[in-house]
Amino acid sequence: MRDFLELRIDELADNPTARVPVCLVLDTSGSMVGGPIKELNNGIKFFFDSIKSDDIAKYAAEIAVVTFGESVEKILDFGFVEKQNVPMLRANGMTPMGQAVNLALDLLEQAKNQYSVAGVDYYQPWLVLMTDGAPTDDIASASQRATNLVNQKKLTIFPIGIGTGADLNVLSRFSPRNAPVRMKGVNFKAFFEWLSKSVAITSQSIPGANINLPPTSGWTL
Amino acid sequence: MSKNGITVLSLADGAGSAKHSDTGAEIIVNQINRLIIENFHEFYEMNEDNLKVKISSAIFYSLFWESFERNIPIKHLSSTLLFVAVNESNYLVGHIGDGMIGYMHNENMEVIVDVFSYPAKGEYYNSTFFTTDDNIQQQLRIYRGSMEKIEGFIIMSDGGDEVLFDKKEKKFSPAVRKIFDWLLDYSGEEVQATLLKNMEEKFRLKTSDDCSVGVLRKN
Repeated sequence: MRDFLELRIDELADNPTARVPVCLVLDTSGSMVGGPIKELNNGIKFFFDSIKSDDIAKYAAEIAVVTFGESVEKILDFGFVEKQNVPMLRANGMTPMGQAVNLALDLLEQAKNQYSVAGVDYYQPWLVLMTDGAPTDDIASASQRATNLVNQKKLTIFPIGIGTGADLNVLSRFSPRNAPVRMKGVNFKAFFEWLSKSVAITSQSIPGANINLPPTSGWTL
Repeated sequence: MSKNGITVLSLADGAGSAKHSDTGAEIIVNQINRLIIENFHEFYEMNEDNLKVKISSAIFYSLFWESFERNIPIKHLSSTLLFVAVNESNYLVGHIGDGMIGYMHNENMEVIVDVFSYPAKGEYYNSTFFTTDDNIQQQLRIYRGSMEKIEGFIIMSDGGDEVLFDKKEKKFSPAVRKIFDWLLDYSGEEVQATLLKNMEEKFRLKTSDDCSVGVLRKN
């Protein structure tokens, strides 16, 4: 009789953790050569290591990386962080930011479709856009697309300028809610520490709860 | 709650973002239980739009008075709402927001557990609808019908459906049928104690959200 009153673990549903999709859209143009790209690579590695060390975030976070420099490339598609290899970025070429944001938005849309088919819940996707300069292609369609998604509460954008050469006015065209911020020097590690904490907080939030992200004062000017 | 041949099972899950959602949830559950018990027959026959106005007005005023007396924003009392009311012949079911309602019914000589009402929520995991939303009448889903083929109902908060509903297969886990069957052999008090024990020991391994589950089955 006692067995009958016990629910076995295999009689309960085994639903996957709700995902937090994060697409990093990173400037790898020629002006990032040297110290900046080295610090960016160190920051990305730190980000992956931090996510992997968090018991909930490592199952919740899905990270994609798009770079824009000599070409626009999907360096990493969305997937389980534990199965992903940390990419090593190289800098050269121009700054085709519009094309990169369009590719990132396509990837986010694909990821959402895959989650829906698989019955996986997901949080509002995040797009992190980082540049140390200004775009060398037309950003009109990409910025309009991103703006529409943000206004429809379908996307959160974090626009970040690296150093004094970054054009924050251009970045603001992608982000009608979050104003662009300028990073202190090339303090990528502090930024990615903030980002990993933010992902961890979000992945532990429950439906209906407000999500309060940590302050950005550690890495912004 | 049972009275005058009517049984009401209700559940309100407080909004995580609302400071006094526990109070709001308690107010709503008490209000709905009383309202439905007193008006079941009238509500069963009423035009659906009018019924939604009656129920949503009752919800609003009970929360409004509490917010007025305590001088707090009404949004601080937000919760979801699920209720099932039955008499010998008919059911009246209402649902605002997330959480799920399942039912056990007879189909071609077979007893089956199916989804009765899915969660209503936004596209994203942490977005749902609450009793204090401006468009509560649109968010309130009402179902009425005969109990002839229905054996029972189960209602659960979103934390409950994380554990009792397979989102990929879109079906309840085997535990739900087992919980229904407990009611064949054990009293309501025994099933309540057993369910609570299982929730404390097993559900917590599957979700970090809080869970509420209510179940009723015909005698």
